[in-house]
Amino acid sequence: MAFVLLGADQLLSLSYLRGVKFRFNFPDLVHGFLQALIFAGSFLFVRDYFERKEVFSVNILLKRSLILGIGALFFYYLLDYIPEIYLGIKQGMSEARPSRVLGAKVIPTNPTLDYILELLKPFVIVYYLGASIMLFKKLIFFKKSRWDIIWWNLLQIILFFSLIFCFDWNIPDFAFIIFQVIGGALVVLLSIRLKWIGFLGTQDKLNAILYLVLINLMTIMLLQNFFYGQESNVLITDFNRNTFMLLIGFMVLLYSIFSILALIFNLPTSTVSEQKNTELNSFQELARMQGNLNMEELFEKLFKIALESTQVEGAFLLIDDPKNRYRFYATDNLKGENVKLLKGYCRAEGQNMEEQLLFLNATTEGDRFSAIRDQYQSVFYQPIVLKDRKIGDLFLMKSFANGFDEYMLRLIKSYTAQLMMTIHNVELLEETIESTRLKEELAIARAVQQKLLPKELPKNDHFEVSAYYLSAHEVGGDYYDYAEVDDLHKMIIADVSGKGTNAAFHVAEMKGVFQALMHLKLSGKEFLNIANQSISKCFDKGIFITLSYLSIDTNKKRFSHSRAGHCPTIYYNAKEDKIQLLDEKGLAFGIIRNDAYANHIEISEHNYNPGDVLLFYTDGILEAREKDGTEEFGFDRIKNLIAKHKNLNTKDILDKIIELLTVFTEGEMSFDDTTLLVVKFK
Amino acid sequence: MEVTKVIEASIVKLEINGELDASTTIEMDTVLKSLLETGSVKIIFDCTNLSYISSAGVGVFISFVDDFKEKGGNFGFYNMQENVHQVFTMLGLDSILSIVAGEEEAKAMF
Repeated sequence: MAFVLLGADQLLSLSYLRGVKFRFNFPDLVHGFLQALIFAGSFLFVRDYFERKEVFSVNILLKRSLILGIGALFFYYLLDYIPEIYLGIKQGMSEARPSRVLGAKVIPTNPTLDYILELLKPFVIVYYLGASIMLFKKLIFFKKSRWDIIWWNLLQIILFFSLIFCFDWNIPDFAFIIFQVIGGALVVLLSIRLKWIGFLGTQDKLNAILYLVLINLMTIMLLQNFFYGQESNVLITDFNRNTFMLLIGFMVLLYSIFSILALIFNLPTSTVSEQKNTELNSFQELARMQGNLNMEELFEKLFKIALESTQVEGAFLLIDDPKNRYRFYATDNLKGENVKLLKGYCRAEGQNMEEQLLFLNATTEGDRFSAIRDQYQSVFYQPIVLKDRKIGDLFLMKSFANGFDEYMLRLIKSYTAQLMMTIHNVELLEETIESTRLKEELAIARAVQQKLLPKELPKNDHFEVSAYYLSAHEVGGDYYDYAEVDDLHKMIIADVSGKGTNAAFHVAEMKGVFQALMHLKLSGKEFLNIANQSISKCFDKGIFITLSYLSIDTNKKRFSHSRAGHCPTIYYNAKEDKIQLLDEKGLAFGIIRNDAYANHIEISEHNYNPGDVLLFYTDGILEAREKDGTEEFGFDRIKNLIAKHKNLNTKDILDKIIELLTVFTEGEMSFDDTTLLVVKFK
Repeated sequence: MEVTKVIEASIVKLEINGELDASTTIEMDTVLKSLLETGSVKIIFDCTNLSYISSAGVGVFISFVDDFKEKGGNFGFYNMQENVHQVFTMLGLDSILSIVAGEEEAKAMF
């Protein structure tokens, strides 16, 4: 449409020569008003409709514009043809054969239908042109600047005001010219916004050119038909009074022509930009794989990307990381014997961490690599290094010499680095998951272990009992329990060698054995002998349990005591006002695993009196250390505490011990579990 | 902890230096395992410089003593410090393991 502006004067005069005839006796003003209404209406409609469409794909946008163009052309000719069909039907009723002469509109038609059809023509054209402009606008505004928006808004204002030209108001010629020149200039300014072209691939560019050429053709056909096609009785086909349509038509034509030219000039550079795009995408893809825990897929991706980004002819990737058990192997276009050669090379190179171009010269390498040399002249070697250890080797090969440039090598290096970072992150994630899981399991183990200890200790007229238990870890290896059978009250305190979860499981076994055997009315010796044998079966060699066992007969006012390798119990004899140790001979559980155990254990029998105190404890309290010293809490401190506080009740005796222990260790946690059990007879 | 191995005729003398606790038992475990494999089963332990032993430390001797006895050997401990000796007696191990006063008595076991 550029010629319209260039030869404006000439054309203007031409357009005035074209007379306008009216079938209806409407004043020209009404025609002008209707046409302006159609222009504005259809334009505003498409503007709002296409503004909302958010798709951005150049080819989809252009395809839409093209489809609209074809549709517009189709409807345009249909509108031309409908009166003929209408007349044909009419004619057909009276004459046998309708004649083509009807097209010349010799015979009067239905004037109302004719009028409406004629008015639909500008609607169809403006709908198509407007829609195309709105679609182009998305291209124009690709990476838009502030000025693009200003030009665009100005153009819309010009278009709006150009609608007044539809009314024939004796407007002076220069007014049209001013509008057309300013509007044309804005169109030119907007038409040079072609930033989107740089982001298209070769194929997309070729497609775009095809679409744009067709769009151009459609537009020219439509405009040509409108302005020169027929002697319309209804339409104002004057150029000046149609400045609106002229401008939007000019815009569609100019933008598509500029785009075609720019696309053609940009074709040669598109391979480079495509390459860059692929690289960028590859990086993004690698980064996205962060959430992927499948190593196999990660390595496969690396291999694929290395192949694509360097256009190599042969490749070889071997991942072998015994530490994490990553194994991956892939080759591309490589003969079997060469694969073997390269594997050999990987082994020989061992921990070589340097990426390098390999020149597999006969002089330096003997003739080891002659097979590879026959197939490939350039070989690049890239070690795959995770954190600071090599986990694999990557070889890339090309058939011609000097096949790799600095840029490619850097690229491969960054890909590998990115992938290794991904793997590292995946590993960290897995570790976190693992440690969270372990914490949860320990919490469960702790809850279970708390249930192994008796909820309530006996309260009766014969004696009172209090207990203290503190585990050094989440779960511990100390245990105490109580059972009452007939008039016998049985108590046990035990310590499993080792600490933590393992020990806790053995504690559970110990509880099972204790609770089961208690009801069999066994003597102390029998109980210990059988318990040792049952427990030992479950234990690994080197694991043992020490325990002290107490059985109180309240009828006879006697108790029997024995210890299986456990710390001697402290016994305060009130009648004699004397502290003594119950340190019978006794072997820990789990050392001798048969009946011979009975020979290694002794039971002591005692008559008790009111005020007698028994203190059971585990070695955790003996070995509790000063915060910054080496001295242990030790046996004497406990003994002295009993001597001093023997008259208190069991709860208070415990409190006194714990109080002193806390002062001694300054609140520092013990390395071992600490358990105390105090019995006082009434 | 350090273990020094001295081979005297058919008897292997192991001098234990330092503390034998949960963290150092693995070392002792390795030493005893290799001795068992090579068939050197008559072992005497010089405990002069064994300053501390935990229950896990004791465990390592217990776990091996039967295997050594089966092959006609034994363990003999001598020159134990008082605190270490106490741990053995408390556990009742003095009736299972041979704990003697000096090197000569230990050698005399075999």
